[in-house]
Amino acid sequence: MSQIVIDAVSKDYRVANETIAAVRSVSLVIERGTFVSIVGHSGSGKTTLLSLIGGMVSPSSGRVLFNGEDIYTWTSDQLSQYRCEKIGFMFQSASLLSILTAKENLMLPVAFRSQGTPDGGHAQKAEKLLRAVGLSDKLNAYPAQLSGGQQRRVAIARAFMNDPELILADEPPAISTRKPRPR
Amino acid sequence: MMQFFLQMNKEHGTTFIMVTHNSDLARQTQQRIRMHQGMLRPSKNNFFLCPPHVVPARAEQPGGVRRPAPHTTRCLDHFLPNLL
Repeated sequence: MSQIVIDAVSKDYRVANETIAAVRSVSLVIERGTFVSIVGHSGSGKTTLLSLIGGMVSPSSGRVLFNGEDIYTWTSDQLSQYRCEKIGFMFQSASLLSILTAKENLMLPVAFRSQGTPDGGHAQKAEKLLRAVGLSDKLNAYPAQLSGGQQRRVAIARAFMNDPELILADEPPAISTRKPRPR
Repeated sequence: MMQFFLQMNKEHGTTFIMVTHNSDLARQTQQRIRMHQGMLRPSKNNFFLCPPHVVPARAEQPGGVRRPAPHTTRCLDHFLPNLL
């Protein structure tokens, strides 16, 4: 079974008296474990397509199937569970909670899982992910103490905390996690 | 950062869908979707566009009849000859 099937999906937005067709009857299949990029000019519908797959905006017509189920027939709770447990989001903005440290921001999605997850190594996992994105010395830093690029890397690490089946990344930075070489 | 993504994709089998303007990043992915004005653009890398027979009929609709989708016809069988 294909992981994602997008079946003749369209999305229109109503702006003032005008209807804008952001996505027009798109159909495609994405198999499990593939790495897909969506490219195109600004306003071509890329981010809207990503939002439709992520269960964030409902289509005007068509279906989005995840593991064979139409996600837009689910209840609000089921959609929330899908977004929390199956998907890791990387938005264009980091969207970190300012009152939490980098490590605490990573551990936040675990708290929202539907099944109880008493601390079973989540702190260690958060540290491991932050090290993987080159922030080993910023574990206890607050967002205000981080640069914009560092904040985005925290958000990238956060996307992997719940072991998602699918990562949706909107314009991830192309920056390296390597430290700059000393002069 | 891309190396980290590729590593997670390879080691954990995580599916990635990445929106990007960066053609260098896109070139490192297995499949590329090009979009233009809300539609998929046929390209050599859009070979996984959904052929109509892949999508199951909508059982919930009366008679199980699917509304024809104009762009599902942009499948491999239709545009591949133009790309070879």
